[in-house]
Amino acid sequence: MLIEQKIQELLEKRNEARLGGGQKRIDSQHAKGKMTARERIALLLDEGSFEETDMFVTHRTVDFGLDKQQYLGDGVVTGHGTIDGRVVYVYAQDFTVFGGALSETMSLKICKVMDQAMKVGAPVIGICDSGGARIQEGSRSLAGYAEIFQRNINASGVIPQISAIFGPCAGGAVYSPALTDFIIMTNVGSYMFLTGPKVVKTVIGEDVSTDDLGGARIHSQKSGVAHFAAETEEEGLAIIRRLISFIPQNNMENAPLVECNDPIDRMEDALNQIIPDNPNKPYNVGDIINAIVDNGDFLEIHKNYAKNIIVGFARFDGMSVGIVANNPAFFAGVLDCDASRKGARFVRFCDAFNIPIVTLVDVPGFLPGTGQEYNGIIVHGAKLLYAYGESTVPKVTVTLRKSYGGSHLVMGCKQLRNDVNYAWPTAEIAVMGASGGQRCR
Amino acid sequence: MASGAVEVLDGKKIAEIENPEERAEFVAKKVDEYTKKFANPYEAAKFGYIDDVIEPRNTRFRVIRALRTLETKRLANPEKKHSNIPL
Repeated sequence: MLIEQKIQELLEKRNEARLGGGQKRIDSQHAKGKMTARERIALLLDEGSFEETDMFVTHRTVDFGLDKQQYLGDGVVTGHGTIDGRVVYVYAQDFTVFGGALSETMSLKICKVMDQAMKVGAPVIGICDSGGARIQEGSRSLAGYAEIFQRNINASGVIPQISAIFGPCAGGAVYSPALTDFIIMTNVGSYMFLTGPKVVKTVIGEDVSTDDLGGARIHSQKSGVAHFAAETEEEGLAIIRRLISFIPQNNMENAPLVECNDPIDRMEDALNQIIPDNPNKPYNVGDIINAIVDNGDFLEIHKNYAKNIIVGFARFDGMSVGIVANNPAFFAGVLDCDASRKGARFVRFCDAFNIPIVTLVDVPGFLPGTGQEYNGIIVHGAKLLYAYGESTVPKVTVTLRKSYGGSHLVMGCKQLRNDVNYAWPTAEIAVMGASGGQRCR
Repeated sequence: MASGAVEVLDGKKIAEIENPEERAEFVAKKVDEYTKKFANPYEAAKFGYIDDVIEPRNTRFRVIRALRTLETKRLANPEKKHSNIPL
């Protein structure tokens, strides 16, 4: 074979791999309003930065006639590239190949990029779009999941792990995203559940749609499984790029320092009037966050889940900071099971990745009642307390208004190794408020 | 937050006042007393639980200066296999 022919062969094989499961299946993916795995990666990464690995991997299964169905690269596209010039590892399940069903070789490809990411200390971004296990492979497919899970666990707190769910993610497969730091879903065509509507119907007789069982709305508002719900895949990928800009490459580094063009001594006169004279009147703490951070730029996490507490990333003088703030605009800013879990998870992420925490406090207490006690508010509240007390990153707390009793203690109080505690003149730090009747709204 | 401090501290006295107007007046007085004594930042600041009371409009600058100062913070938890956060 002449060298030109060999090069031609390589180019042809590459083109074949890039077609995944073939043009027909690519068209049907597009018809569903979805992008292909490679299109998603191209949008996620800096232009031209993607280096693909294992493009020529094929599955090894001979049963059920699978040996006659071979696709270069199998059902996942893997490799690395850059986001704003910083290295990230990626994998994107390819729905056009066996519906993205996970094979042993797919798992090996995913594990390879995860191992590489751990070696160099760079984030891993996984894009899920898979019908589940490749049933024809039996336990080898299952073992493939477990190999990925173990790597998710080992990487936890070492490198940031982000999951995008841009299609089905059902059964045991959900546990890989669940082990990662952030989950992004799209409002249409994205769902996560352990057991699908058919099994739910058979086992407990409940009628429920795919969306009502595990769509983006459910997970971003009710269960808290998803941190972001995006309208489109493009928006979802943009969120990931923005998220990456606030966080470090690994647990040994600091988040990137960006140039700050917002004057650090900018006075916000409106803040002197923002606390209402009536102690039971709400205001939105989001307005305070926007007023004090660099250029009002705030990436809110879990925006529609447990809205009585706000968490997210912003910058102060170019430094990346995690913000935790009770929001009196929802249920008077009270702490309940969901808000406690939301806050605790965020504080632990910040601490693991050297991101300072700024806490804005206006909390009337923990939500009373059997609903909360039966759901273990004691344990969930303890998570927030534990997370604050365990964290060693710089911690600055500003008490805006109420800070009562147990809720005062779990919101970055001085004795839980908080470094700097400021209070506004409107602050009320006490065992409880003067009079009862503080109503949750 | 189910009941306020005044109810706890002076509940008995409040219950003993039969005239509703008189009772309301007494409660208001007690609320005011309690607020002046405890529901303010200075009580906590007295003990150093609050490092400083700041003007709201200057919050951005104060937070930035605190974070800048803390950049070199070093603190480590005791050695352990791993913690056991209440799950």
